[in-house]
Amino acid sequence: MSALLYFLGVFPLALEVCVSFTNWYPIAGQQYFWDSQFIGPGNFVEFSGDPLFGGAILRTAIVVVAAICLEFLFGLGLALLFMDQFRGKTIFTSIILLPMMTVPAVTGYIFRMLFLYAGPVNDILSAIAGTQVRFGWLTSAWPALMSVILMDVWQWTSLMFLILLSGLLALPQDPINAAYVLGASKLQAFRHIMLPMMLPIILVAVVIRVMDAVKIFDGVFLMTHGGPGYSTQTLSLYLYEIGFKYMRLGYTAAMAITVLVCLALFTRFVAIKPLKPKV
Amino acid sequence: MRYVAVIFSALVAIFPIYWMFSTSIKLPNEWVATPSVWFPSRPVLINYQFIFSQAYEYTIGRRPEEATAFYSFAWSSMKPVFDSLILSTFGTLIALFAGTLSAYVLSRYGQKGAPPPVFPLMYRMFPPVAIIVPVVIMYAILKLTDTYAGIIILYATLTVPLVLWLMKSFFDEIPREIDEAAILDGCSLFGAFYKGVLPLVKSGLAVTGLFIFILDWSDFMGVLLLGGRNVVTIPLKLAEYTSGHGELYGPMAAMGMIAVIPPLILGILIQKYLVRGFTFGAIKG
Repeated sequence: MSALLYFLGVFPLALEVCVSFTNWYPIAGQQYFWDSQFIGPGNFVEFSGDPLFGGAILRTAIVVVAAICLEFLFGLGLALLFMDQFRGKTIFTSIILLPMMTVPAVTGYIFRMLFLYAGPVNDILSAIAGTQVRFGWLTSAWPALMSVILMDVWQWTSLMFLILLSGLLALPQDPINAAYVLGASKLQAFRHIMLPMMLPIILVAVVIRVMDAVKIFDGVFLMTHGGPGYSTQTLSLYLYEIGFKYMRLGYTAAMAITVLVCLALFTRFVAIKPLKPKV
Repeated sequence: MRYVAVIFSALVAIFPIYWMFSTSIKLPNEWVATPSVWFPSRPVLINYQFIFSQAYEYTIGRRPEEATAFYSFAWSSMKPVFDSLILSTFGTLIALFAGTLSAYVLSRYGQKGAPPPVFPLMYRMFPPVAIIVPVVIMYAILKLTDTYAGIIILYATLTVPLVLWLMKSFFDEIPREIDEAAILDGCSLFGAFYKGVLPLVKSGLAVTGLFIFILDWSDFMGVLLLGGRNVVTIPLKLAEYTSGHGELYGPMAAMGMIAVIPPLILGILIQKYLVRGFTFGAIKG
């Protein structure tokens, strides 16, 4: 199994690293990868001066940070609510799990319909505010970004909720009961006992979500297509545009490898370090 | 008080899904109407008919060649559901099997409290847009494109690291004394794992299984470039609804509703494992 993993994992990565040092451009006559010329670090130099790439990274960072913070908070709150038995728990859990189970492409379209000028979201806001609210969710830069964040939060809070809930349920009960016996309130027990014990699972959930959030493509592509202008063009969309519209595959590979290295470093130092055993 | 929060969250969660449902029973002129239609005045089932049968009113008024194109397009819509099911189920099972065993070993025989390895996760760390081209080249050489086995291998390989990560943290929460107790009671090593520890992480296993199933179920890039003729999954089919024939919100919403059902069934089934207290009282003193 691990042989298959390494084969399937290493070979394309190695190929990709090689491609990133070339200027593979299938339309200009270099049909296969081995026809293209080796241009060394030219790609990397080029994209470090590319404002669109910097913008894409910034927008992706905003979306990822905002979405994951919100997902974590909502997921934790929901998990705490769902820890004990209450009437109708099964039904409510199934309902809360529903958003995760929609195909992201469909979600993108549904949210596009929801966020239209005359769409239901504006209708709800009108009903609450009393006046006609016609907020252009998808026609301005920041609201479009907010809509993307909202879509991601809606869809993936259920995942955080699920992981945190199973983490909470698997905690050994003895330390917690001991704390209650010793007079701790619920809040104190949560903050000092349960939260530290859950830290590995929290970090795992956050890392997994970060990795998936950096790659969001389906929903954003179908909801805003890059947004008014370039305002919701996240990393995946930018790479898609460069790679498949402009067909500059060498350049795409260079950017992708850089993103990979950054994410790997992030995971190593931000998410793994706290878990290392303190000697 | 708890109920207020729960009910509010449930409403927020279900609202877009309600919208998807209502779109799937609307007539075409109500899909993106101004002002938006909350409940269709005349609920119709033609969107579902478009997916399943050959009787379809969209073709009224179109030329015969277009009509036949629509019919064959509509008839082939049951296949994606089956293909998606096959790919997701096998991919999940293989990933769970390989990943859980590896996670157990890592948890018990690695450094105490050490994090799981980062290297296998590399593949997930950047947009598949960029990595997919070498994979397609590799698959073309191996003649695995457009086969079930090829895509299942891809899914399993990509998701085993996730299983590793998740299951390892669940295994880490179980104290080692349980393993030792099981071995003292006469189990072999695998027996200690299978009878002693595994039942305690059932909730973790259920969650991981559901997550991986959903990831495979909604994967688009992989099947876009590695499937097509022989293997057609639901996201791929959905893409067809949104190009060529204009934006068919209705059938797309109908397909989306159908696509929600298998993961939903799985989600309901695993709920009985999300119960607290498997380690309750396991360690005394």
